[in-house]
Amino acid sequence: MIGEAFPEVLKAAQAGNSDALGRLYSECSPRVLGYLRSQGIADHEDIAAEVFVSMVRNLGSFHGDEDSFRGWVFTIAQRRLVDERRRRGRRPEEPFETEDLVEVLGIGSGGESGVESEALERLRTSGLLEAIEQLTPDQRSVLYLRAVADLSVPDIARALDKPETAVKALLRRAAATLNRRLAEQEGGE
Amino acid sequence: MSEERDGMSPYGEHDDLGVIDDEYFVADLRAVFERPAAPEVADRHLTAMREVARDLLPPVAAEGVEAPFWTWPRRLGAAVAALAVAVLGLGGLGMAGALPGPVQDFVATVGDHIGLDVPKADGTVPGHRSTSGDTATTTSSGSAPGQTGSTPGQSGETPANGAEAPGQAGTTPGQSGTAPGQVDNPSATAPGQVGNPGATAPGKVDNPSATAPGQAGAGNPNAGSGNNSGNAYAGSGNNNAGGNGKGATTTTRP
Repeated sequence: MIGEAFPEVLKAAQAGNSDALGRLYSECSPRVLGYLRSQGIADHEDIAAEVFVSMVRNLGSFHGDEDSFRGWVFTIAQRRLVDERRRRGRRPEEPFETEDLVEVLGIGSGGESGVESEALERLRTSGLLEAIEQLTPDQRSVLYLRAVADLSVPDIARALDKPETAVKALLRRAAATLNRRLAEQEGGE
Repeated sequence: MSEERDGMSPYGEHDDLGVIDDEYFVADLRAVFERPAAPEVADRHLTAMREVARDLLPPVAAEGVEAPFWTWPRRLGAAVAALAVAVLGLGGLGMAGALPGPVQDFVATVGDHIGLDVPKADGTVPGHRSTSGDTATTTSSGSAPGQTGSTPGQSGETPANGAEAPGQAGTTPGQSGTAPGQVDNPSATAPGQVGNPGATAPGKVDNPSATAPGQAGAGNPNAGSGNNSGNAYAGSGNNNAGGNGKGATTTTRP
């Protein structure tokens, strides 16, 4: 979170200041990358590069506070994702999305901290990672944007270009799936 | 839910959206998904961003790069300003007749097309509608055909050379009265004229007794043919004696 300095950082970034662009990137990139990872996008780093380039290209037209900016960046990411899905849909031989989130996350290949491994282990043992993998792409998007990116329902609706009622419905269904899985897991223990 | 963090009981007992609102669950999701890019990936991303910024954003603000003076907006502004100066300058000099001969003629021709009276090199105004008497062929006296003699200048289409107007009662043109728009009343405008004082009045005296061919006496609205060497601007008016006729003015261009 950039906080009070956000307006100045934004203004400097809009003027092409390299440090300000770096600051916006540092702030946004983990979430954007996380969003693309949560969608099971295999080459999420390349897609993320396109998102950030598009962000810079349209930065001059953005007006708003930091929360709006976060939502705006996710809007770009979602559009890029939809475009890429459409493009890859015509060439299905190229692997784009995978249901194996662990493969996308790259955890276990070294380089990650112990915190990440422990978190992954908890998600695995609770059965929630598997439940997340079984969610539809829309449900996964809503779950991530609500729980991880901390966007409000209206911001999610804007980012996904869906009505708020649809977002709420997706969120309820995703929660029901995860809760059911938790209950099954607890009942099995 | 923050109290739960001390209890070490992840993913249990939830309301509303259940586990989605669980702080532990969210923290674990963040730890797993929201990891920063690897340094080499971040470098690649930032390089791409900076290249786009350098290409697209105003170069003034790009650090270490001095903005070129002749940017496209400035070029466009300079072109518009130069055009405006040229138009106003040529127009002003042209109106004053102060341009070289061929240029003055050209400006006069252009001005004529857009409704401006710009004198040519010889001092004449192209298309000028007989305002000063130097260009128009006007009638200085005589009555308007199509009159009865009692209401001069009221009506009647006027053949250029004083032919009798249609709808006449058989009187001779130029009998009485003075048509407005004639020289002795240059500021008046006769009905049926276009309001050009000094223009040709009905019933030109070149041939005041001529009768317009094709006249059929009273009530004949057909215009007679006259010897009109210039433009005719016709208008309609009332003819007290012979019904409705039409008036005409003639203008001769230089």
